[in-house]
Amino acid sequence: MCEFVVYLEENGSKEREVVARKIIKAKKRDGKTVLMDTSGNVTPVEHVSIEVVDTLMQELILRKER
Amino acid sequence: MKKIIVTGKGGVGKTTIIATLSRLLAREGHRVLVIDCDPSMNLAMSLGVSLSDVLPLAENKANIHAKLELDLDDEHAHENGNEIEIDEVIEDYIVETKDGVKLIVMGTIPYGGSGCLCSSIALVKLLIGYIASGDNDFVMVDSQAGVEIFGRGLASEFDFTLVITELMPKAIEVTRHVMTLSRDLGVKKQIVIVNKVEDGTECETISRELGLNADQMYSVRCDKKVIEADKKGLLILDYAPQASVVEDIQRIKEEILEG
Repeated sequence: MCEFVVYLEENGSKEREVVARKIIKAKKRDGKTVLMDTSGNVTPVEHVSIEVVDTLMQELILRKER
Repeated sequence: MKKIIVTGKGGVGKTTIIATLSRLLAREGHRVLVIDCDPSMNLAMSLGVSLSDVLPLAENKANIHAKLELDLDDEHAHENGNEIEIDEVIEDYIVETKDGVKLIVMGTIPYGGSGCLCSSIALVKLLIGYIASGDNDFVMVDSQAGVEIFGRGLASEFDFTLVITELMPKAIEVTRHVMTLSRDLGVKKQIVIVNKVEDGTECETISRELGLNADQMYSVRCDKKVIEADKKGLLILDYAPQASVVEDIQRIKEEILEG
């Protein structure tokens, strides 16, 4: 709940890749999804939308925008 | 169904008291479900069950997640809360222990750096919401030591908070904080259980420190038999059923039944 593992899913695929771990904040900025981890490191991800926020599984799932 | 949360500073005797109390209730024919939310996971052993016989919730979150239909793929899946058969969801995680007390173990932190317990506590909170409609007479939560679980709101609208304490300044401070948070959550009654009492003056001091009324406080006498039982790996209720500590916990049981 405090920290998320962030996955990226391709449209129409159940496979997913880990984009970032220990993420405490996600924000849309200038068309990008910006992820910040517990060390303050920032990972910008382009052309994605936030698909699922799941506190029980501590997962945040991004999906590529078409 | 009555919902009870038991907490206190680490080492005050919380697990021994909840194990004994739950068994005394079960011996009278009450259906008791105990949920161990303490990451040290000692309650199973205190109820006579090996941890290897327990399937902790935290290690099986994905499975429970699926059974509770939390993927939300079907927009109508949760329009009627009764659709979830909670007994089927949790049956694999319930262990029957001494005297028929049922036990669920939340789980622990599996390895260093693996993250916090928030999601496990959230899962227990969710399950308690479902279990509330079940056929248990008592659901008792053995909290991790301290106040964290109250911050998570797990005990919201519970019937009792049992705060185990002893005559130590730090334990008294934890008790004071727990009682405040417990009131914030709308718990109907807070009971302070002063453990390891030697001459009774402990209760007077704690009562004065916390501004408690007599009906908010119970004492459990210091009893060497508890330590003897622990060293032998036995449960006090089996090792010395006539022990003063058992007699004192009987009085707490009566309060819970009447309250």
